[in-house]
Amino acid sequence: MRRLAFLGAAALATFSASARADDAPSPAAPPVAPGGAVAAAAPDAGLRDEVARQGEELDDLRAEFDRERRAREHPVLRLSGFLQIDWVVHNQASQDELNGSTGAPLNQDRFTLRRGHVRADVEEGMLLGALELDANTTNGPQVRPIEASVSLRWPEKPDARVPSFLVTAGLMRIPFGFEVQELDYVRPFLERATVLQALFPGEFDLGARFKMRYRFLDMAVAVMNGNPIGAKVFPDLDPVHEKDMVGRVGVDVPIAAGVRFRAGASADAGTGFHLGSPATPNTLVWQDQNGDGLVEPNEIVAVGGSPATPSKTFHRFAVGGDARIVVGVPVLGDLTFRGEAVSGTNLDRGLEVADPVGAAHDLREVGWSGGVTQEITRWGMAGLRYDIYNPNADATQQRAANLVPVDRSYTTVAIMGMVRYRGGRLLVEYDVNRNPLGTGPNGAPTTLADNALTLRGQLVF
Amino acid sequence: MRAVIPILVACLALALAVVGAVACAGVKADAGADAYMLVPGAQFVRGPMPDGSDAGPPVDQLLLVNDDIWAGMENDPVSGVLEPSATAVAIGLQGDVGYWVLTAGVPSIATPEDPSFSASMAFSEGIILGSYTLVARGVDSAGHFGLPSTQVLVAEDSPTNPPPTGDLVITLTWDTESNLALHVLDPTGAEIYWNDQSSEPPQPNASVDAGSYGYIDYDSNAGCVIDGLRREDVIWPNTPPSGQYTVRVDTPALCGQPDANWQVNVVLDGNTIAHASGVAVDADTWGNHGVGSGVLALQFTVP
Repeated sequence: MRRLAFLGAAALATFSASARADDAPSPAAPPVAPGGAVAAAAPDAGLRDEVARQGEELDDLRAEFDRERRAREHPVLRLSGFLQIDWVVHNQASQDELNGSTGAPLNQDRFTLRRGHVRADVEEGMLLGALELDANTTNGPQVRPIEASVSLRWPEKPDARVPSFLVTAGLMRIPFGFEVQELDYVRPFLERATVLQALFPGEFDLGARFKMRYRFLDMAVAVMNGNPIGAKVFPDLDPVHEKDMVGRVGVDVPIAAGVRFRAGASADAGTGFHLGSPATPNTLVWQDQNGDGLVEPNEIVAVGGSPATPSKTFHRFAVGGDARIVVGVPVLGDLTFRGEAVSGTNLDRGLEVADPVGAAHDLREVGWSGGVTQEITRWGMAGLRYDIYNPNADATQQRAANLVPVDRSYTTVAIMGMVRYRGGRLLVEYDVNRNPLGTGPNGAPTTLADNALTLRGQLVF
Repeated sequence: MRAVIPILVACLALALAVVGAVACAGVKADAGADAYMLVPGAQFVRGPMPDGSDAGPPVDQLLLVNDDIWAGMENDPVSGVLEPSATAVAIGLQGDVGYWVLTAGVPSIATPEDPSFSASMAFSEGIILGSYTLVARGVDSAGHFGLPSTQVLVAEDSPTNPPPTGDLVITLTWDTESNLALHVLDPTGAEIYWNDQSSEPPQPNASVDAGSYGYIDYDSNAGCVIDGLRREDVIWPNTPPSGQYTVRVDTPALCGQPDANWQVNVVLDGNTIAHASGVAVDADTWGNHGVGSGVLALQFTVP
């Protein structure tokens, strides 16, 4: 800005000097010929052209100066967003039936507005603000705030020579791992790894965050409610007064020509909530055992009441590590290897909600994912990812007289292909899912078929 | 570029191999809602139960509280005792569209060496009256099915909601928990419905035989107080008046349901003489729902 003002002042000075030169009689003025004709017209015309050119430059500088002043007085507002429309061509779990307990349709073969985000960003010097709304039809039409935050940054303009700091409060991404913070329209696969969907459902939570970046190092630490927007219990609320601490420390360095290495370590520690129950009175229950519709003495059962049980809190935490290596392949584009691992205790809030009070033991969650993507020029990409998540590494099952350990793992192999053009993408992904939700002929848990073929159209604007 | 293409092809082949290896694993998601017998909480397997053999564990005891079942029956307990090597039991009705798998539970005190099982059965609204064979087979950890243990179940009319009897019975049934109302205009000019539940006394100036009176037996889901019956009958216990009858179906409220598929059936002297069906939608809930309300279902004549 100072440079612009200096240029403006210099141009004004130049213009003024030229004008004065025009007004004053010049000792070198050419002689005027009879009839008023200019004897040496060419040099004079050149001066006038120069003056006109400088005048135009000055006008441009003034206009630019005015634009910058207006921007300073009125914060810059930017609108952006993206759309993701899914067509689940086939999901093996689909049935033309309703869920008996929730009444929700079991058919998954459908068109869905998976995400429709509109975002407004505002800048005013060191202050930043963001409001992002999400519209989707995943569980019926829904519009909700997905991000709403105010931030203070320093320095005002990015400068690689000094550390940059950012303090944010509001609804924001949870600073854990890599995929949780990866933008939805950038992520090459349809959804995040199962372990991250379970432990950080919705990826956004309310709280305050401090971020620092300097050269190859970046760090973020946040105090948050601990109930993300996608949590099954109390989403975006907080039934306990203790807050969760979440953070990540990461590095981003080139390790060879055309090869970049990014990695980080994350941790989350907080307090979960076990719901208490109200007192229940003594009751008499009629069980029509012979089904004759008549009340008989032996069909009346007394059910004793119970006192209220208090709500309880429990400790929960997780640690994780993430790494990516990006290799620039000539002609094709970036070849990216990605991996992430998380180990947690009592932190599942999205898939099989962890309640160690009810289970009478801590629930250990373990999961990891590994994948590779290859850009195929700027027009396409292909990728493969495997992820596994076990919500209870100590799970057991009563099978006849024996209490046997069982594997409660969910795994997914995602095979992805993508074509892209400017802000648009057409993505096809086949997910091979395995889970412990079925029962095999021998009574042991087995996969309830859930493979899915999905097409996604995406546009970023 | 030439070196990269084989790598991509190899990756694709590897991916397809992985898919092929795991795509067929597991059991199919199927609620078994169309089966005659349902066992909540158990795994439904569509198709006939595999034939058992001596290699599989037998079912030592199969215990039922009721041999009599009926359409819509719920919480009918079944339990049993399995041979020690059993880890599961397969249970189902012979001839049904599938069967159910239950994981074997802890032994009971009476048989401390043998696994047990227990469950609650429910029976479909569409089950046809008659005899059924309940089949149970033990299954061991290797998936071997044992020889069957059977019990005969008799499907009969529900004792809590028996079908009405009479010389003329006009029945309205529907499929969602909404409030529909049966209106029957008899040859005497009397309209029988929820607010005028009997044709007695006969209308003045009636020119036809009004020696028998009709009545409506129940106002199901009235005021959206859901009773689960979803059925109303207008009944003439004795000889009905001769002449033309008009049957209408009114929809006082859908009670939050998107629609209701209804059926009207007319039985005269034990024979079905008329049948109609339709769909009640939100527009049908408009109006005062009094005399003359509802859509025309059918008309018939009693000689």
